[in-house]
Amino acid sequence: MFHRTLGRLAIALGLFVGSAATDAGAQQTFHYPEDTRPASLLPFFAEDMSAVRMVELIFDSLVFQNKRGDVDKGLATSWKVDDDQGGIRFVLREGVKWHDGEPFTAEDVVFTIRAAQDPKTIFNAKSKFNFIRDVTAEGQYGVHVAFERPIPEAEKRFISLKIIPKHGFPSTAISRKDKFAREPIGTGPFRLKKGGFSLRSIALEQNPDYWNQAKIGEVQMQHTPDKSAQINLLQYSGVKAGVQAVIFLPPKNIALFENSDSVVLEPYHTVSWWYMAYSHENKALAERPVRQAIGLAIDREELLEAHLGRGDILTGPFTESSPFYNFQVEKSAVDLDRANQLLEDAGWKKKGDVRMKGKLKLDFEFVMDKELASNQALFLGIQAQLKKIGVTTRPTYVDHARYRDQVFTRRKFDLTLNIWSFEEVEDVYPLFHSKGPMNFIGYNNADVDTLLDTAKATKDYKKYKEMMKQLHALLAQDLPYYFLWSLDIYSGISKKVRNVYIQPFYYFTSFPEWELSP
Amino acid sequence: MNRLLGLVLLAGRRLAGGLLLLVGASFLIYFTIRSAPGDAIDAITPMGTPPEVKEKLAADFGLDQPPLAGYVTWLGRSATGDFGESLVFAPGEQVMTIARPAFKLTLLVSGGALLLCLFLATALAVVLGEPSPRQQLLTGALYFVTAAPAFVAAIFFSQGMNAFVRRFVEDAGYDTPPWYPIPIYSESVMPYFFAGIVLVAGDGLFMDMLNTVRAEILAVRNAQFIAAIRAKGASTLPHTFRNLVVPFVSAFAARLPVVLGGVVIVEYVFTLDGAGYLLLEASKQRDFPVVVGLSVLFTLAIIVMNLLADVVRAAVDPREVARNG
Amino acid sequence: MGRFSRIGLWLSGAIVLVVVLLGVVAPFIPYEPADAVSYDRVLEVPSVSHVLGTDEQGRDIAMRLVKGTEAFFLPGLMAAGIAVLVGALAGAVAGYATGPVRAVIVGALQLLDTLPRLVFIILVCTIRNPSVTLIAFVAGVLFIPTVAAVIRRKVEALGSEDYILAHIAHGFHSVWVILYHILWLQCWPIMVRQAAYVFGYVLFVETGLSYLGDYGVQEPDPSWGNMVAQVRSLPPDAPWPWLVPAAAIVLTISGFLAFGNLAARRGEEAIR
Repeated sequence: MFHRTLGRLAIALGLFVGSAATDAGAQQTFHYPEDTRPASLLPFFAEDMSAVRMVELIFDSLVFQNKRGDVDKGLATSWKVDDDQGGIRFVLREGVKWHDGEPFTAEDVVFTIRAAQDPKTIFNAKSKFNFIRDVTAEGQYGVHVAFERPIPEAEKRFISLKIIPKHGFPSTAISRKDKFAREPIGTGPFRLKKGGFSLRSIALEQNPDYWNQAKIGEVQMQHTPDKSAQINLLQYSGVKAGVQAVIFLPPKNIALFENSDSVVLEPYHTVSWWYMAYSHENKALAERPVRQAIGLAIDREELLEAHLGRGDILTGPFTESSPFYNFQVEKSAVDLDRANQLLEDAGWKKKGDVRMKGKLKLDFEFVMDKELASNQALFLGIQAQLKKIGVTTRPTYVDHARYRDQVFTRRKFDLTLNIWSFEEVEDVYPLFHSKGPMNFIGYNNADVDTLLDTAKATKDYKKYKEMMKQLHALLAQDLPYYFLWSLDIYSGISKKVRNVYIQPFYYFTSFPEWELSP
Repeated sequence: MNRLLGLVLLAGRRLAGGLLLLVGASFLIYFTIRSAPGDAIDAITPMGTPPEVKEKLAADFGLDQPPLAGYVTWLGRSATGDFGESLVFAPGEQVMTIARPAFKLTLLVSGGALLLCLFLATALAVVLGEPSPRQQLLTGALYFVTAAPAFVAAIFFSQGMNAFVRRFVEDAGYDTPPWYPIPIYSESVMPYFFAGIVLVAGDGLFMDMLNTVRAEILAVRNAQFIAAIRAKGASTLPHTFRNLVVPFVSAFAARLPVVLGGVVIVEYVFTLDGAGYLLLEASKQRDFPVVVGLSVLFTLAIIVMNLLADVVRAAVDPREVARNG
Repeated sequence: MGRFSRIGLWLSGAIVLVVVLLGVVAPFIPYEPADAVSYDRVLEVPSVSHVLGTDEQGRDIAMRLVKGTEAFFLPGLMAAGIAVLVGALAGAVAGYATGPVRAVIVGALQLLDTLPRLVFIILVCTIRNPSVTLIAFVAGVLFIPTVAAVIRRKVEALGSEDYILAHIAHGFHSVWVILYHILWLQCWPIMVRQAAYVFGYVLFVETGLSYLGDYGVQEPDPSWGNMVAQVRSLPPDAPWPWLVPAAAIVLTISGFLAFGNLAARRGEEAIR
């Protein structure tokens, strides 16, 4: 780095004087900036979205979800679910090589699943693979996976399982500290360039042996935390210094590109929704009228429009495109009078700025993750709106790691703002069941529990759907969270890139088809 | 011969002094870590760090021992360049493997900026010559402009340059320069150059340097021996130069800490991948072995530069050896 | 002292006075960050009702600028106090004492001096819960050697002067001589210069860290640094929300430094 920089000093100063240098014959490189820097390229530990996107380029799954939303062939060329839905048999693609030249076989698939289930491999999404009981290789190119219980649409569960090489690890106990995280070996369309994992950027080059040869030669990601810098770079995507895509365009910048000659706005849907969570361990917030009053005071439309742009206001824990969304539930409108009345009736009397009942105050600690950039602005809005009904809030901004600990583990918060994202399966059981592993709000409602339990036991999808709609109505009434919205998200992509399709979650699934003209 | 011996002895003494300082400074750094409230390991590791990583960390930093013994353990490891493993930034990677290239880059930028500053200050000092009341307006204005913190200067620079190019180059239909917009994306060296300019222009560095250099130049120019040489008709340049080396090197060494402070935030503004970026990113993620390793490296750079300055001073000026030998 | 220097002194003195006034008054101005937000007046250009315009949340920039002085004023004073008081004492002792006492003090000062300041402050912030008070405290301590070095030189130079020796011969206690005759009567200009410098440094660190957003002042509380940080999301045609606080930072720092220097020069001339 040091010497390369020195060497380039002369060239760059030459450029500065004005000679327009062209690097002829260079492969087309697709540049894009990221808000956060991926710390690990080991699929199990790819926890932030920037890492998920990178991993999508380097690794393959057995199957993937194509543009039409169907499950399509990846490393497996065919599959068959056992008659009792208790297992699945995959036939693997032949002749696939790992980036280091080793052949890909069934042993690698077996290894990956064993590694995911090894108690010593500790990662966030571990519970996703709990449904697997056993895995066996059947010859070089056959794998059978047996389940703990019958699973409908089982192949979908394998979309998120990125296959890693057996020869890349000493054992199935995989540590976060493994060198593999910085020197990944995959079977995917791109491989890490030599020295490509540097401080701030990651550089990939085409995998020449890939079964679906990519059209773009190289990919480079750079951690660029300033959004305005990203926007600037996209505006100049034509010049050498620019980028060809910005993953997430903040809504207020969308207008900038609406009639652009050089940039297209690509909408993409994520199955994710925003919420404000109430801690039910707080005595005041455990009262339903308080939660309802808070909901009535917050103007979701205004907040959404001012800070995030377009989206759908939600009434329950699903997005509008979800089969479980219950459109019968009515959206509540802002009604300060009713909110005040609710609080008065429940015995909360105004003393000065804040309402009190006995010694209890409607004064809450609002804990926020600094990494969610819009949190600060949203909080300011919510704080101002709640003040009108005599509810005061104190902000605590913490970094991501601390946030997870404080809110999810120690549950030391009154209010918090966050997003739930779902990959393929929209399962809210963990969020609202009193025994759910992600029920960090301490919510306990017997009706909800019963409903979730019966839904989990049923094998009939139609019944399941009805129960979810029922659940939606129930939660809209009881308000364990205040459900906010789901967003219409836009990427900005240079017009030089063609044949673009953005996969909702993994983003780069169809990247091999993308083309980049010089 | 005698002089050379004296010089070697002086260098040796200074080296010993430098080492002592390094040990002392590392002592301060170590005890800052030990001052972490509550359970030190929990305070300095990110949430969710697995227990075996915590144990290794405690052993690496001697946190499982009483303070003094712990310090000795830690010093012993650090002396071999082993600052432990990164926790979050690049889990499991040796701190030095990540920090070394980044730090070299930062040193290059800071050193380059200082040299540029010295050069510009000298040039301006020569042009200005003897101080006169009329120059005060110029120096006053310069004083004001260069007092801006380097990161504010960097923001002004990048925003200003972008606005300039947009308005006068792009809108006028010319090709935009390859380094535009700032911060740029590609691997060009221009951002490093810009960072250098900003470091020269910020933190009061330039005026400070100008004042020093100017005083030295005037002192030498007005010195009696120069007048004597001039009277003899010989060139005064080599003598002037020889007498300026010492103050220049001292000025360089004395200001390195200022620049190394400024560069941390400037790197962030220009998105350079140097030690400043690494320091802030690691600190944000509470990757504390990386932060400690970098702190030691920065301290080391300052000590080494002071050491070099002392030796150069002695090599050029025999009186220095006599005074200290 | 030349005419320009005198003008400079007045100008910088005015800046210092304004900042000090704001710093003293700001805590008493009622300001509720929650009430300041208003989405129907976002990014307005300066006008009569909003002298410096409004920011992306529709908050009045002038008001935030005034309230932003709270973030650095008291911490700055504290740091300057620590650096100058402790530094002057340490410098005087180092200049006057002999033997092991001197060696220990000189060594300790040299040690503190080798630490890279900003890097060390970030290290402290990584380990402890950061606050501007903590940052200012560390900054003050890190500046002790700088102050001590200047004072020590002065004390050494004066220590051998006749009139000081005469005072001691007349039976004044040497501690009194150091504290009153040397530090108070002779070194005050140096201390003013250093205090102004340390204050400026605290402003630099506070705004720098608030700009980065991880350790300084957090929204919704205003700081000049987190106001400048809005540059990250502002459109290029609305620069005032960051331009105003950035200009304030430059003005204040250069004002304080210039005032420190010029006032000290004036004082030194008066003493001579």
